[in-house]
Amino acid sequence: MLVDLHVHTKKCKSGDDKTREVTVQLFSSKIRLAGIKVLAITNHNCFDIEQYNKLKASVADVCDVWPGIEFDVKQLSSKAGHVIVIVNPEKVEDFNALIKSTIGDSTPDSFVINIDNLCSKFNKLDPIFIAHYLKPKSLGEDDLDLLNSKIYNKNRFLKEPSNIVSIGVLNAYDQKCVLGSDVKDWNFYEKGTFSEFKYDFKDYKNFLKLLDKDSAYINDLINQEQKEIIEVYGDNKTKQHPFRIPVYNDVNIIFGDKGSGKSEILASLNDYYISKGIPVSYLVSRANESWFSTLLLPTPNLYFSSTLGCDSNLVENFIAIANYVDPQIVEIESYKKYFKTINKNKNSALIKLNKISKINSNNDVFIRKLGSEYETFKSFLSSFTSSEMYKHFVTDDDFINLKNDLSNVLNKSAEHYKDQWIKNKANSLSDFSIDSINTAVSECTGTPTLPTETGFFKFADERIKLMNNANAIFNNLNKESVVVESTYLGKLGNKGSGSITSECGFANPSNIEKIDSKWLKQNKTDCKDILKKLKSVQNEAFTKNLFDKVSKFKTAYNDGVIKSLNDLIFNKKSFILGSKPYKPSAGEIAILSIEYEILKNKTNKSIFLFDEPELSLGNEYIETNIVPLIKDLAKSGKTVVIATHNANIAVRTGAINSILKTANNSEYNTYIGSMYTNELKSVIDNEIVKWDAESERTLEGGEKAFKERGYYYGEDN
Amino acid sequence: MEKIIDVTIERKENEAILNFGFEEKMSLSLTSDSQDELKDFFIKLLKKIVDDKENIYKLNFSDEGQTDLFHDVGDKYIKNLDNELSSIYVEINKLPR
Repeated sequence: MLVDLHVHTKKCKSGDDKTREVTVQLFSSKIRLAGIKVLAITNHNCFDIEQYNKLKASVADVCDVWPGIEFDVKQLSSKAGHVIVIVNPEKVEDFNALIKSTIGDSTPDSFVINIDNLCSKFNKLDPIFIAHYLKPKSLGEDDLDLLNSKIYNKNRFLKEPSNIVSIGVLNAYDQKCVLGSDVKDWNFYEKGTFSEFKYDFKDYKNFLKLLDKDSAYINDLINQEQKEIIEVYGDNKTKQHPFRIPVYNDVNIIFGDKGSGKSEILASLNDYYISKGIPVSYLVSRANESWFSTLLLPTPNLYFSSTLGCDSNLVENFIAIANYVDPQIVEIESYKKYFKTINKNKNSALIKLNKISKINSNNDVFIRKLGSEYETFKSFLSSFTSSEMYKHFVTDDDFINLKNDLSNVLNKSAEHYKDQWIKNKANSLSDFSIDSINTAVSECTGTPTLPTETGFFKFADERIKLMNNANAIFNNLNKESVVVESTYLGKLGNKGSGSITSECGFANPSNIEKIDSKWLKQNKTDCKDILKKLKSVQNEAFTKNLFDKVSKFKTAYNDGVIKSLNDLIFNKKSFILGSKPYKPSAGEIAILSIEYEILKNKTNKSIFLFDEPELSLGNEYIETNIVPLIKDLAKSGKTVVIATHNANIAVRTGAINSILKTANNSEYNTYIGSMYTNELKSVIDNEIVKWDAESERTLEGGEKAFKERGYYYGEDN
Repeated sequence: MEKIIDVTIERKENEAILNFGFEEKMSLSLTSDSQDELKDFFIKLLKKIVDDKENIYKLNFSDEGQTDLFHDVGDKYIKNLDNELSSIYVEINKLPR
């Protein structure tokens, strides 16, 4: 619920901007646009009850408006500071009368109230006091201490720091804080900074209960949340020292002494949810660097030649090369034998059909392609003529003409296909006849056959095929590597967005030396060896050394594991920032891991366990990036459990459940409660300790750090 | 339908011609040494087979009473050619009609 307890609606002082004036219409539209549920009108040394009533009425259906004033206050200090006083809206008439009598004839520019009057005059109106703190017009230290000592109820004294970073730190040390818009221009009101409260308080009285940490009231609110009681272990590995904790469907914080067993609770919860089949995201920040290294692990086994756009893995080419033998060349002796016996039979000499040169023209591949194209065209035409759709695009005559033209084309392509098939088949039947008659003559006469060819054609043909097989393999291996996947990890501030890119390519003779062995599917030495031998085959395809090269390739191929292009794939993963490779620091890895884990899992996981997410992260980053991510998870119904030493995470995430672990001379204790009640109860003996005292003792930095940070964030802003 | 085509040998001086008994004369000379003639014969034969969608042709060597080399070679060759033609009918059936 959004609350703004510092709203100006009038130009009161001469230095106030005119844009602080607001009409009823503008006020109503801006409050609705910003989604404010409660606001207090706090003009400088001035309260206009007539305007208050009009403005309150204009937003009565969406927002509760409380009366208030921003006083210039000074008693001990040399300079006046600003203190806002907000009172019970049921007592607005009394408030109005009191303001009039207190200010009297003074102007807003000149009026200053001292602390004694401030504390005594307004007490009967159930006031809340909000002092400027660590920002311009802050109350002096002396006056701040005086106000704190004289105030009627310390729980109702709040501070207003300059920004949201300060507020987290201040809250961690029980410095109750709120942020107000201090609106200077109503045209941009909705862009202001407001306080967000975890629980809706229905009216002013309930807000006072929240401030007073009224246990009964707050516990009622907390108990409305869904929770599960889960058994966890002091030693999760051995499942010893069990105890039970509530886990709310919201943010749950585990804090306490180092070595007290916070991580054991998370590990127990992780095991519990996994055993129940509930999707859980478990981020251990100590393991961030190994998480990052895992992302960079190559996964070549996930990729195949098709990933790189190859139609095939070319296993047939590898096998053909390994099994290559030169075709038989016809020996000159065969001719000698034939001619020695040729004249023995007169009719044998007359038969000449077997002595014709063979045609050796086999166009089977071309004929199959013609057939395939014919069938494709036929299928298209059939679909075209039977579909009603195409008829709508042209006139009937045009459609018929087009259909006839296409039919003519189909008929002509059918004739062409048949003619080519017949010519090709006639060639093969001619060669078949030459061989067949030659064999018949030989068998019938008992003489050797006339060699029908020298074998040179086949010899050359097979070597060309071998060369083509090797070329096809290298043409693919030499393809450029490609980025096959890019996974967004997160932003590194002004440096830009970071991604993990996965690059795939083939190992080849020119890049194999630069390839890390981890990138390859197979052993790098084996890859180098097979590539070298394959290259030798390609280089010696038309030399007399081929047999030796093929033989070596065959041995490597048959004995090794590299069988196709798939086995020569490499995969390289890199972290890319912007467009260049980048090596992130430990802190940057921490930033990336937590954002990635949350963003990646927020739709498919219902439980988020974080073990010290603050490790290696700066407080400003935690406040501006991590806290909002965690709050969003809780808002979307996720259960978040965080073990932390960081005050910002413990407080600013608005955790309703706190688990304190203590360790004292090997004695362990667990306390459960909430920062809203400021109570933590021991699960062993029901001892109650204060949340604020324990958080100050155990959360990062203690009181000293709080003061340093307060100074840093406050003064610098 | 299966249709038997008789193949006979016509013997002339220094010449032996295989005649295929289609309606239209179709012959192949065993004593020719022309590659073109051989090729043309098969183009003609295949056209006949492909265009005749009704019949499946079987070759039968018919050269009764002869015992010369032409007879023996012709007998073996025609049997082989008949087997070869039978095997290409699978492809013929896939051609456009």
